[in-house]
Amino acid sequence: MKIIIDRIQPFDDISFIGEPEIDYRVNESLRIFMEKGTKTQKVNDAKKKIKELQKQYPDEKFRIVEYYNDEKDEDRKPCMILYETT
Amino acid sequence: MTPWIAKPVPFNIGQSAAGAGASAAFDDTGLRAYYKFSETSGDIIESSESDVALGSAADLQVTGATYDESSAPSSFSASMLFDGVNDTATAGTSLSQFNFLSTGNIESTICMWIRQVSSAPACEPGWFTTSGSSANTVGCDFFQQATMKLYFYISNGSTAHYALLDCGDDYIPDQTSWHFYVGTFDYSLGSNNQKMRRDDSNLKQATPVGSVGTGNARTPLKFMLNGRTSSNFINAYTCEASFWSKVMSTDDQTSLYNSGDGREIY
Repeated sequence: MKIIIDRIQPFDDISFIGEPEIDYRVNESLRIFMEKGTKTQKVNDAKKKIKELQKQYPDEKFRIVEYYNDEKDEDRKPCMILYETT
Repeated sequence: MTPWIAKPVPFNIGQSAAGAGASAAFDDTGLRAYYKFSETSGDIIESSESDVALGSAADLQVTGATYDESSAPSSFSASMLFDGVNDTATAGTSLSQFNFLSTGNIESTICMWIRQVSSAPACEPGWFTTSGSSANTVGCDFFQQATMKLYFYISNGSTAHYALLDCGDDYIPDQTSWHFYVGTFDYSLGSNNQKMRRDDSNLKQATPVGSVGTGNARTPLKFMLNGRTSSNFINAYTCEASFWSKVMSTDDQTSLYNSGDGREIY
């Protein structure tokens, strides 16, 4: 299990009825893996990191995820969102 | 004199045996892709044995989803859980192999067993998608909105769409139980070409409003996200999903529903 920060970025979009709108998507290439400490420390560090990122990218959303997707197929668990900004 | 004794005849599983408690094989004519989701690791195999099967090019590559043996309709033993955070499964790389759902004279059926776990996120994510629920692309989706509304959508690449069946709020009735959804499209009908049924009942239907699209789908077929954003994931279990290039009869739908227990095609 890892703790990660996802950056969720806005983009111009066209809806199913043809209306222009702004939607959000996770940019997996910008995923940040929290490396040091216990799970609690990683989550606290991730929240501090998100505060910095919010100043740098005010139009983006962020979330902290308990991440299992790189576990073996047999051992994998569902990921969980631990925190997210609105 | 030895009395004549009839030799016992062994019963073969799967044979048509009226009165013997076995059911006849299910007619797989037109079955293009069949996903059982019963694997325990690796790809989800395209398992159709019909003459028109898409085969291994349509195997599903799994991203993050969990191979689950704890929840399934009672006739099945396994399913796949998509966590609604970042899980999906993708049918190869071809943009054309599922065009029978969205172009030409469409005769199609999509069957899915679904157990929704959470309400849908924003941005029209689909249980399956080839269009990304966007009017300016070509493809087909079963997508949903946060009111637990289900849409059966065929887009045509213009700023309108070809067909949009709005099944109404709460068509996905709960977040606890398995339900069987069947969407059919029959171009040859004069009206109500597009139909959706849940649990062998709950019919919703609509008539197309635009012209049918041409060209390839926007994305390879994907499960449990929005294809146009590659994000906005759905938290749900699924199993026994099948894609057909024919309009399945309601009798056959009833057989696959099997009073809520489900039935394997093979």
